[in-house]
Amino acid sequence: MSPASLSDSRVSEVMRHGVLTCQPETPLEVVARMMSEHRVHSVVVSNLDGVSESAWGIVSDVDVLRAAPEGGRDRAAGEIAGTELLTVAPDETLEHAAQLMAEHEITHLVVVSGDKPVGVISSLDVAAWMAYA
Amino acid sequence: MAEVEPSTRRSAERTYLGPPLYAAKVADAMRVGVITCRRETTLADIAKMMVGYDVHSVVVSEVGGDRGLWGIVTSLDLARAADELGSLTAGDVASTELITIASNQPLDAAAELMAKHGVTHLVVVQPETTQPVGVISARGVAAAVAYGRSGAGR
Repeated sequence: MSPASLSDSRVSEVMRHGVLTCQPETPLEVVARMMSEHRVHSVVVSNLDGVSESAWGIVSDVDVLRAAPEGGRDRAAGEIAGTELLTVAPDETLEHAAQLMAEHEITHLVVVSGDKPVGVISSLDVAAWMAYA
Repeated sequence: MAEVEPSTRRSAERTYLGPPLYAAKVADAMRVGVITCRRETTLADIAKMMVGYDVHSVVVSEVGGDRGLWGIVTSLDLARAADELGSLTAGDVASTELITIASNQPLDAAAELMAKHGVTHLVVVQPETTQPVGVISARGVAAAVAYGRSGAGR
């Protein structure tokens, strides 16, 4: 097998398929629990405007640690969803995904198909793909 | 590199048994033990270490150096150098500004420190000896938010 290259590999080959989703009113405590149990660093908040499925955002572990000391764990996901929303399409190259992460100093990108989140790709996913290729 | 069986590395954070965030110490929520590499370790080997231990950071140690610590490599550093994992080493990309916290400090102080410096991991040191004893991550703080119970762990 020839070594993988960043420009030949696609996001869809490397991403984690599927996203963990919560509602805007989900308490911080529950979001934190989802992260711990599924060993992920971000959860998608859907229906942010209460109407449409295409209005969504992200709560990251960093949002949880920023919000927890201030308001306790009863605050809701919709209030603390502060992470910059960086998305990538499944057919983009890994090179593009790695550049986005580096430019924005962010370790996780949401993979979006149409308007909908369909997966997540992390800096570790990219590195592991290249290391084991 | 020893590989860790997937079954043995799944449930560490699910078993957080400490008090709630406001009453917890760093020691309650940290992962005990520091995964280290040498300056000359290739980034490809570090990527395999991160996958094997399911972590996003590896501490670069210097034998006989100050507390044995020299820098830290994160998964973001690897993504930046993803085309050169086989040729670059820890010494080429590590951040040498290591942010540490003592294990007896309040956990919410660790959360504030991470937020202030924009990092997701801190190296935890033993208060008396300042030797590294573990790592506290943003998700470790999240575990305390999720499972912390009044009266626990004391």
